[in-house]
Amino acid sequence: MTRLALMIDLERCTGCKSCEVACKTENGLGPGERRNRVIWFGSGEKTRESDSSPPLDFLALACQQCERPACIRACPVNPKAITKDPDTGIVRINEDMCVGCGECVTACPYGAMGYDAEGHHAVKCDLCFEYREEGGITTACASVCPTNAITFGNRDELLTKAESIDRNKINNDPFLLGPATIYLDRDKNLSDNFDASERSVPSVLDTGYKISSKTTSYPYGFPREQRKVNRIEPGGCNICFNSCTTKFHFHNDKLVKISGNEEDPILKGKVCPKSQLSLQLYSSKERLTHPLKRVGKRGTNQFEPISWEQALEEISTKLKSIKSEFGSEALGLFSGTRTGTLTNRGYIRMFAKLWGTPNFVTTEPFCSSGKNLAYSMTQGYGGPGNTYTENDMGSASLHIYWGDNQAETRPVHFGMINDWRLKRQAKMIVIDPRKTVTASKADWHIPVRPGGDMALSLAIAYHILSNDLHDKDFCDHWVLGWQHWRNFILEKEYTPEWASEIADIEPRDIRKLAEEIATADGCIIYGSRGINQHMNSTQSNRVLMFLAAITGNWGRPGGAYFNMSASLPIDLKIPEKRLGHITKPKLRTSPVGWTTAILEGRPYNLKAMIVNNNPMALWPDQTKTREALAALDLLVHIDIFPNETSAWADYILPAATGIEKGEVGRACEDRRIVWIDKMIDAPGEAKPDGWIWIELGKRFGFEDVLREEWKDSSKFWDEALISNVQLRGVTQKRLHSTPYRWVRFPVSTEDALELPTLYLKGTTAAGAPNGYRFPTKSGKLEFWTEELNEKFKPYGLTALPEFYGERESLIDMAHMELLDDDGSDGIMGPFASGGLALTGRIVQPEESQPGLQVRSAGFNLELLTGRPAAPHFHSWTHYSWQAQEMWPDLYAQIHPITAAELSILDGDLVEVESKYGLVEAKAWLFSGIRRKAVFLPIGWGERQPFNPWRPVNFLTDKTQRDPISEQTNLKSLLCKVTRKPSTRKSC
Amino acid sequence: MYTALIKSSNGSKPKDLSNFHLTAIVVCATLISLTALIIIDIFPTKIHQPGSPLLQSAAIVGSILLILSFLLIMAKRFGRNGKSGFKGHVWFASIGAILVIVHSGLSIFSIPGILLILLLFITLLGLWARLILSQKMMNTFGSKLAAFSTTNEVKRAELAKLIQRKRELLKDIDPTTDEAIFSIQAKNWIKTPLLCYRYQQTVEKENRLLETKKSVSYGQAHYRSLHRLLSIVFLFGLLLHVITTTFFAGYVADGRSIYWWHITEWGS
Repeated sequence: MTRLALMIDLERCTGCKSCEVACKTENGLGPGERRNRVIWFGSGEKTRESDSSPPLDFLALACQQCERPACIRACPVNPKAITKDPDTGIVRINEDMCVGCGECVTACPYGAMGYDAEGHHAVKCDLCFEYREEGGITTACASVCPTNAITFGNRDELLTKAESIDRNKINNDPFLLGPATIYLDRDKNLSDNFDASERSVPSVLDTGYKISSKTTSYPYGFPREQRKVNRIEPGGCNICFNSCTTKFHFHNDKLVKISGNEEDPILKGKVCPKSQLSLQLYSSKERLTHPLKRVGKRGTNQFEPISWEQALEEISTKLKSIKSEFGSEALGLFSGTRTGTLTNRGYIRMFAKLWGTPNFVTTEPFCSSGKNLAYSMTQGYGGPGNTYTENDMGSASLHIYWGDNQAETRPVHFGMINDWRLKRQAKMIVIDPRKTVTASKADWHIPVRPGGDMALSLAIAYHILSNDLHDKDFCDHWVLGWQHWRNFILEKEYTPEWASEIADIEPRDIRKLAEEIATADGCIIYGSRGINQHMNSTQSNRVLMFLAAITGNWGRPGGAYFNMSASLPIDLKIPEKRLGHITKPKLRTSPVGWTTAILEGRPYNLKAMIVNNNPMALWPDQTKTREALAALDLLVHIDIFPNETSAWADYILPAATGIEKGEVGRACEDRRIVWIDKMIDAPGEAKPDGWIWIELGKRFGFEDVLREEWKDSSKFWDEALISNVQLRGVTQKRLHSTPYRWVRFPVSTEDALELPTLYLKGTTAAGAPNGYRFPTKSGKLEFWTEELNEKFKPYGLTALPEFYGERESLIDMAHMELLDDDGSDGIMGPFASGGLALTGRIVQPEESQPGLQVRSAGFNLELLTGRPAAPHFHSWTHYSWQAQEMWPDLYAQIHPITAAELSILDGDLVEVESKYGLVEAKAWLFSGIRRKAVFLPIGWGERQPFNPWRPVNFLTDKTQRDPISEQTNLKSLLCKVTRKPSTRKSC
Repeated sequence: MYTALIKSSNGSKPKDLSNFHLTAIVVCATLISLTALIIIDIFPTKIHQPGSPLLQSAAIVGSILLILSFLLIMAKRFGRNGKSGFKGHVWFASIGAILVIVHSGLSIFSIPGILLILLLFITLLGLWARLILSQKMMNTFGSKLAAFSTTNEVKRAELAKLIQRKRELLKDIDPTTDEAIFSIQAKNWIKTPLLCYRYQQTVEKENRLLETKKSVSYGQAHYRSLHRLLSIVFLFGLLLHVITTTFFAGYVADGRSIYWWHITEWGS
């Protein structure tokens, strides 16, 4: 007998629910039907600091394939509808014979028996019996698990493996049922034994079961023979920076499944829930399928379908009229994630140049412009040079996640890092105001005060430099101006004691952290939005880069400041004579700075916008955004789903996405360019973005540059986008030469070797003069140079990062006071894209306390915003029914002690109010958050089909921007929370 | 053989009576009953009396259908397809109920009226189970955490004893089967009723230790037993009603004229 089983590792599981998505897709399960579920455990409504239960744990639950299955004994049908295979021990159900009495559901003490409430029969895990009979070598859940938390195989072999890695097993057999499933407990060095008693399940998860099966479509709920895969195409996911390679499974011409690509030597078939859930986006009944023209008042969402011809003709006529009256600069173009890299970096950019507007921006000022600038200044190129390989990032002995919740934002990459960390016994430290999923795996969590990161990093640098813990050899040979910075730090006395109050961390912990970084044999500091989304974004990023550099963690395997992602170095070649005539500078780097131009015509008029994702739910301060978009003469919205922005548009153009158009994955964290072929047609009359821009361009005579044949995205890639020395080798031919469809740049020729780690000692950077290790002017990392310092001067700053924090905090700290408003001319920014920039000055707390005024108005809690759990990504995943089933409602994480003071219980409907607006959310009592902090995730919107909620951008402020990068502060605001009266029952 | 058994499902979703169809059948049955009651009331008393040839015939057919409905749901215990059995259960019960209601004239304030109330309650309970409780059953997944909590060694020792006891009893009930997957079937009850009773008692004790019923809501834990119990009570009541009106017509008439078909007039 070969008893088969799953082995589930609690130390590796991050609760991403990728396994749930794989299971439903493989088995065609509809809403509410479950064969597995990942249960999130919180610490309950603990109100004592002394309670030590961890704030987060995850338990992947499926049928335990018991030796004595209680379900079989409870089944009243004769012969039994549930049977056990004597050879493998697999317990299976014959759904035809099941009468739906539910006795097995009641009998299973693991709660692992599912039920189909519409088909009226029990549903259960059978370890993918049919899938494996058809040739699958493992279960669907194990095949995708991003963290290798789930493994499938011979139970005896799994037990041997568990013993070999010296891990404790959870006793999951208190009832003598002989479960086959093996659960490996949390790492005994890091955590107490897992015990579900006294733990609570947050009430904001897995409550979306009321979704009707009518909202689902093929292949969910269809018989297996109608979903049988007979064709598989490799491709990739176009959603996030993980850039997962995938396989698209077809039944004839119908897409039935998206899985990972097990032939990928890096990702090995691991894939997060989003990639798989895009199946539900392709087939969603909510998709925009026809061009629409507004017939009602703006915001009332009244439209009529029109033809493409009519839409494009009318739009072009209006644009021509605006151009002739206000100039070509009166058109603003905004694009983002959904739009796709080829459009963001190619089609739109070309259109903007041909049309003659400098006002084209992407979502960078909300995500990463601060770090992009910081990388460019320091390293000469906007992105890290390391890779997710065992010999590179896997070889680090210390991983520090600083404002980066990678486990939820890029689950597959985190899974790899976590796996290597456990194998190598490397250390993981997480610096974050919340004990995020990433932090729940860490050896040490440091709950920094929001806005205190720069102070903390400066103090770490002070300790390292003042104690000569830095890498002198690296500094002397490869860092320009490091002595300037050392002297500056010492002179300013950025000591651990100084930083302690600002960062809310004990000086001894700061010293300990500094010593850990300085002494580690390879330390990677991962930074992300937690560092970027601040008013000191550029300078904070620079300090962290300096920290990595002075400890020798740059240009080596296992050492880096790794703030994703690596920008694609695309150069567009447009004949000089065809460039549109531009007479005015770019309005602002951040589009939120455009609202004054729209509403007041200062510094000049912006009258029309073509937006390609959802600015209404994205730009900080939605109230102001609404006002501005409503005042435009023309608003064209190109998207795949109707949303807040489309409700205010004059024209809505339905777009294609991913495999409907042929695309490249997003800028990948480690320079992998993943190609996604066009495989299916877009629904209705939806068109690829490239098609739309080319057709619109024809109306203005741009067809000689924005060419008809480039509607074929693969031709556009080869002929228009890869002329750069870094991308020249990433041809369609090379991309299609691998079964996993990716090539890592830089590769200057089709047969050039890919480089796993850039900037190694003795190498020359791509495109740089021989011997230049880094692509800066000096070939070295640059902390301070005369030239750089000159560029900082117009801002009222110096190239040496001086501390300033945020305006809104529970303490008063040095902060940035902007001297210009968005209507003023400001200065011509020497950084970024050279548009008009804001100037500012650092104000000490003794001089002014803007936070005090906000606190005096009753806003006494720290407000953080950020990404929700893994299945969601901004607004577009909210159209996937299964993502909504898992995470239906907007939530507000709040500490149980604070919640108790405010009489708030888990699941209560609460109002979260900032100085700028108010939203409602469901309370999630979470002991992993700072006592006085509240966290709300982004992505929910008022016009979403399943669970509409007012989005969090009603709470944020458009004026709190980094003057250098125009990155908006979205991480440190003040708010108050109140329980909404008489709503407890409804929650 | 094992694979063949499971493969019979062919991986397809089983066809079942949908919630919509079930609701439609019950609503239609209600409307038909009410309409029939109104129409029948138009006719002279000798026709719309419960014991009139027309309504007594309706009662006989209705009763047979209700008994068949019961038997169809029991058929799953004898190797019959439960899905089609359930469809028949609903159809027969609905038509049977219409006929019995029309026969009764909806006279609930009488001794046979108790049966009518019972029938109504059983119908509503079935409907509730199918429409509401099935949602609860769906949401049971992942709601039980006791198996992942600290083990109670005393309880484990008790369970071990009970399992051993079951194994010993099973040697005499059915030595060919395995306790791990065994539950008592009708044939076992017929062959060895006392042993089966003891076995079932042990099972109940085991379930109490497993907190099977406590692990779900009260309704979910007990609805099926209640539905079954009330149905049995109803059928006994029906049988009693048939016996008394057929053989004890005098007792039923209680001095009034015996206008319905009967065999004996005992009890007058």
